Amino acid sequence: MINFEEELKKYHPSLEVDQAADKIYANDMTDFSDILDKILKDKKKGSDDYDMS
Amino acid sequence: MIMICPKCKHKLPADTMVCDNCGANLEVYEKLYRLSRAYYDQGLYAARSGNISLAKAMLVKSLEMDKSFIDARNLLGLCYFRTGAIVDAISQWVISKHFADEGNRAGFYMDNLQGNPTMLNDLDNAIKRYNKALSAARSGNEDTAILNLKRALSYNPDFVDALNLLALLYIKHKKKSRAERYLRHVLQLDAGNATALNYMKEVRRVTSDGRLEEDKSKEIEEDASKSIEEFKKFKLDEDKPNVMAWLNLLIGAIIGMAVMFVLVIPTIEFGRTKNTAVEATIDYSTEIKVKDSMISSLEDKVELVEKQKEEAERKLKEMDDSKVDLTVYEDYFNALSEYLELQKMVEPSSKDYQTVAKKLTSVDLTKIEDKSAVKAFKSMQDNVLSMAAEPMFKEGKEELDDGNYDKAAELLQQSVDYGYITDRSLYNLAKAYQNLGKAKKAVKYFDMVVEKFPDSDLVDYAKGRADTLRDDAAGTGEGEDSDAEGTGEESGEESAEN
Repeated sequence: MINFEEELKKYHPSLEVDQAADKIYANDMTDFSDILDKILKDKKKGSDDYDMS
Repeated sequence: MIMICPKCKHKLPADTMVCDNCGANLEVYEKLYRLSRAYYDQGLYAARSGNISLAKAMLVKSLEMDKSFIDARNLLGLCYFRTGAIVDAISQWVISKHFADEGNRAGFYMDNLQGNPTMLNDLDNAIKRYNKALSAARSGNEDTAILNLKRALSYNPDFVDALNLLALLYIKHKKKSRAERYLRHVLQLDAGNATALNYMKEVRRVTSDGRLEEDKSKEIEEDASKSIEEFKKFKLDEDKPNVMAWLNLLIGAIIGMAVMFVLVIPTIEFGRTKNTAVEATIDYSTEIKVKDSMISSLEDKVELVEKQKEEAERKLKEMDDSKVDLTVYEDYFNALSEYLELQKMVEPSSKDYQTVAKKLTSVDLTKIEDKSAVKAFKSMQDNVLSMAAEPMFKEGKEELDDGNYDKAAELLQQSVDYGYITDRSLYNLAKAYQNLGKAKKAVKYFDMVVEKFPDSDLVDYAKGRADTLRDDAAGTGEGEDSDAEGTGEESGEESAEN
């Protein structure tokens, strides 16, 4: 049996065309190569700090 | 041949493994590139098969691997456009153009939209009407919602969210045949739309006597109207006057009419029926021919899709590194995501560290060929495990003090495995095993206390307990299953541990 109220909660207002710019700016442009770069940078930073101490 | 470093865009000779400009390890990027293409192929296949929902999911994954993959982004925009999510489509095409302005199909799509302001206006109006309808439905004004949704669909008949919401409202109002019509449309646009499939199950729900629910309501109406007719007839009979002469005349008229109906009209009707039947036969023959040609065309399409599928499978198999095991890399990158989430937390709790530690230790690094990726992962693992180890030791100690030896042994063993190796952690782990009757393991860890921490105040207690266990084992001839427990000087031990 479908629960009407529960189903209704799953629907969200659609963005209108003049709100497209907001959508574009809010887009998360991170992909896995960015994540990997960050990990390697953090690792390098950690080992540099260790060397300095 | 020349290749371009994906990180710094420096030109390099082909088959270079490390960029001599920025030092990036190109093997990893190559793996990501291949994964991205594999997901794209799956998305393309799904889109061609009409399963837009699956296509969107695969294309999003493809872009998670390589955000600059233009084809995947353009196709994702098309999928959004197909189902009426115009703003999502536009945003994907704009981003696609950001990565490549020249020779990009996204430019064509955007020009098409911008060059047709009427269409764009209609699409926008559809969205506005849909939003109004949703607001009305949430306020309980379902009739207003239905009107607005119909208006929205007049602007954009392929607006999937509007179609689904309208179907939902009709289901609520028990107009299931109408709901089914809209749901069929959704499934024509997107065969894998989960919402529509779910609603369709509800619409086609069969009652216990094997009939569709809406058939039953029709039957009830028919029965009701029949009983009303019966009631009316009874009243008319009561009102009719009792006159025999008129009755005889009536009977004669009836007989005459009966002769007409039995002999004359059937002949006429037969002629009409025959013509109708002939026409119907012609109609059906035509319909059958049309359907036959449709079937033949669909069969051709199926054959074409089968060939495309085989081609796609062949291409996937041909890819280097003999099958990209998506599952292994999925686990790897899922674990990475969890690690990054942990880093974002302001004050992660020990439970958070433990959860992520478990995820990290579950990844099978032997299946990942790239050494630098494995190295980076291990470094991250060490960081998290060391943060998780001490809280696990404290929890394990509490369990031990409460007499929950099984749980205590599990937690203490994990804390030691994660690198929390102190005299106290080893000593308590040994005690837990001793209380569980696992003498061999207990002796092992007591001996480790003595060996690794000779200056510890627990050394004498560890030696004493280990010796007792050895003597018991030698005396009874039992090993692992010995019931030997610690004896004496408990209060002295407690104060030494604290």
